[in-house]
Amino acid sequence: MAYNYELIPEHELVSASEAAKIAKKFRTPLEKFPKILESDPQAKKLGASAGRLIAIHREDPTGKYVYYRYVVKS
Amino acid sequence: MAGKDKVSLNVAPGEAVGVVAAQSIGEPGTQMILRSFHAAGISSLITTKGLPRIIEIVDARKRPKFPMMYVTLQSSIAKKYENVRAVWREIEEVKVSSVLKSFSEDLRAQTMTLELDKEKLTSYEITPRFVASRLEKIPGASVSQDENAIKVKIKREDMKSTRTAFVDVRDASIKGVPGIPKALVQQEADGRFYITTAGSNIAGVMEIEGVDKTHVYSNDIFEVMRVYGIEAARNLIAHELYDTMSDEGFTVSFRHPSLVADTMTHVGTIKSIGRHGVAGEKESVFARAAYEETVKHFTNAGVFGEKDMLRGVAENILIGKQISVGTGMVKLAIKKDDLKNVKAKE
Repeated sequence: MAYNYELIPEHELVSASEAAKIAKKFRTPLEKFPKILESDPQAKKLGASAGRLIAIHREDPTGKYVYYRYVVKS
Repeated sequence: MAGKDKVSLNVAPGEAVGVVAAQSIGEPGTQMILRSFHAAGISSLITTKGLPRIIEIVDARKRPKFPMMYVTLQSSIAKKYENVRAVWREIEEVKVSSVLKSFSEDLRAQTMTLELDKEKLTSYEITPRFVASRLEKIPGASVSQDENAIKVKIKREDMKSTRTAFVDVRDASIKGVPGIPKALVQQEADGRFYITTAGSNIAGVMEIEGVDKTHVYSNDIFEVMRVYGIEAARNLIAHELYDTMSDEGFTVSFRHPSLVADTMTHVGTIKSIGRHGVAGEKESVFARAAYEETVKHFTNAGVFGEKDMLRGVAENILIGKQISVGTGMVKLAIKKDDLKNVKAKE
């Protein structure tokens, strides 16, 4: 069992130019990335508006990796 | 396992990870039906365990059947029982009905007479005056209190709304965190006390002094999403699935529940697996029709002129084409110039 607070991974706002590079790397338009709502507590904390990309630094039993979520209007 | 053999954890392109995850969770799941039994009376707090819990998570119920929380206290007071007890008193919700000895209702006069139980009041450390002050907050209520007797007069239009108002009086919360009908103080092996609760209200509990805000656990996935965000909810789904299975003695690789959690939270909110969620909102008409409610999906697709791009697995099996999984995912092509060389050799 892990406490809820410990389940929040580090969120990081990605710059627009960096986001374009990531979209190219995955060969997927940003709109098709997993989504996060603008009203999400973590997105609010970063002050992310719709259309931005958030990098999530996850760490779990399978290893460390970066996951991306595209900010959408709620 | 973490970081030990990175290469073995990598997955080949085109691997059908969804099917592997489904089978890896589903196979132990079939055994869980046979083995699970009811633990009635063993634990003082009931929670859903085993297969029912897994179904509950995957179906994305708005509330768990038995929501519960673990509340850890700040280390300065966690070892002193008296202090922990004081926090517990702040948490457990006390309703008017739980300190009542008897009551009578007069619908015509719109008055309700409550007689409070003295012993219960002292055990909760509440004075009758305090109860009366709380009841005054009900709109349209005028309260008069004398010792343990409280008279509440409620102004309402008709008899029906008077009746519901009377029920509201008995249901009114006097103290504690709303949504937590029961809390228990328990002790850890190292002597520290913590509080377990039936019912979940993360924001409410965190407001109470003495609670360690970073060490609160709730099993209510939707509430975690509201308070901490979608990523925390996703991690809770994955961990809950993983933990419920390992509690029953089944080891699953974490990547399988992890994939399920990612699929469920893909759109930014929690969607259930199944007809009303992930499976029912697929892009392909054929894939949806192959799952459930076949006729409905075909007629709707006909009426609205939907297109099917035949990109997924189910629709390609249906029409008898090679599925785009594994080696079926790659397409071979030859450059026009190279074609000339091939012909020349012949």
